[in-house]
Amino acid sequence: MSHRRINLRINGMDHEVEVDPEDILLDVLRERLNYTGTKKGCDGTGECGACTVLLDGKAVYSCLILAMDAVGKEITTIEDLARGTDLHRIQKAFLECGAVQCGFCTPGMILTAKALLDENPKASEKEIKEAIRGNLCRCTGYVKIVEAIQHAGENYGK
Amino acid sequence: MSFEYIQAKDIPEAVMMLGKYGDESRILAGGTELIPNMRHHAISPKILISIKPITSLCYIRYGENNALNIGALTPLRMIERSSEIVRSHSLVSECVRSIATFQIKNAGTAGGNLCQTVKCYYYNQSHINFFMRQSLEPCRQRGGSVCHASRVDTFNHAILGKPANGCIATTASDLATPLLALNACVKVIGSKGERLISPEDFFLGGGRTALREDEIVTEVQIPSLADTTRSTYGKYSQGTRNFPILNIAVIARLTPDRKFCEDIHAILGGVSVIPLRLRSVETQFRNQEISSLDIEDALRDDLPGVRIRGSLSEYKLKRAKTMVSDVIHSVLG
Repeated sequence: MSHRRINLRINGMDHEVEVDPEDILLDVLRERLNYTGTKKGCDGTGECGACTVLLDGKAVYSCLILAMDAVGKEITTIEDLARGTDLHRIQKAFLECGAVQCGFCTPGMILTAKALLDENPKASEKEIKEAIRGNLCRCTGYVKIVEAIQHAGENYGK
Repeated sequence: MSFEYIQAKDIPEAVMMLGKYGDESRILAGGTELIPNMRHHAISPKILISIKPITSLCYIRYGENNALNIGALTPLRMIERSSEIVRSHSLVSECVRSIATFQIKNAGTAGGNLCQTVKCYYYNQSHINFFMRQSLEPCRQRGGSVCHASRVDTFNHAILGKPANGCIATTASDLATPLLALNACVKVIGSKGERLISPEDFFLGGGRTALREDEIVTEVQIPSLADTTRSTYGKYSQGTRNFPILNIAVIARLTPDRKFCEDIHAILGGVSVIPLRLRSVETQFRNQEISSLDIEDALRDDLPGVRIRGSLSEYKLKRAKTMVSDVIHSVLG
């Protein structure tokens, strides 16, 4: 099938990449552009949330989006959050609250939390739980994760 | 997966492309159901027509007589977050809140939700079952002549009524049930022009809709509700993607003192291939004093018995009856 050269804007930088129509954004991010912070869990069924990225600030599953459909959108991956060794507020909160165990779900959790807190910094526990419903943690550290997001929400954006 | 990808810039172009490529093509909107289905080898279209660039189909507006109009490409999350919809049509908000996850709702669209295919583990559910399915004769959805689900006691499929085109999977769209209760309309456009279809005619069961080959959904129109109207949505589902195993939408117009029920619409999804209008409940409760109503008696006609006797089907029926009773009590109470 026909290859196409497209431009993907990821974390504020333009990347030219040659893709096939069937290439999924997750695979292009991980395999071609080396953004391996975005994880592959359920492999394209939209269930686990490990592949969550932000598309124009909204949390989406990158395993359910064709790379070609991401052209012209601002893609944010976990790599964009820290500035060198200076971690993002949500990343710090995850460390401080002990919300990371094996770490596989963490990038997706943090990006979902960012999308939520950007929209509503004062999200309640219920709203946080609703928001991370699409991110599975098989170490079952949800209590700490919810605590971390609540902690990150204090003075968020100030 | 191997296909050609083309983008339609506007509605006439999308309609023209659908007409040109016919059933070899599929419309790609949010993609949250199309892409997993393609990955599960349930469908293999040769051409995907992406309508994502048609931003003019993304809106929430109030039209004549305060009717709510939702563009087909409006993300479900936008509907969920609309404070106007919470005020004017809380049934729609409640329903959308219950759908899938944050991420799915940011990508998934209103029109896409209506046009979903069926969800059945013999057809498209989970990659593990893809191997299981290979050892089975293809089902009707996959071009075969059997429905494996219809031979067994089942919890996830229709438990009463007739199959649709030989398939007993239920309508997967969450929105179908409240749209039926709300007497909404689905606006579609094709090469022969525009038409409005009532949800009763739109959903045909077996994953099919009344859309012709070159038609696309452009809008959902929902009439305004009187101030004295009360409504509730109820849903039972399992798992992260939580498609409705059972869902119910009830709207009732009560007298200001809330003693009489002037009118009621009750739709139950998940028990038959398309959402079931609870006709006995509607007829027996209309213009009646609320304290005199007997739900169990009314349900005897609407939910007579299961298709195949077995613990799963019978449990589902019992659960459905309890849900109907709880939701109607909460609306009338």
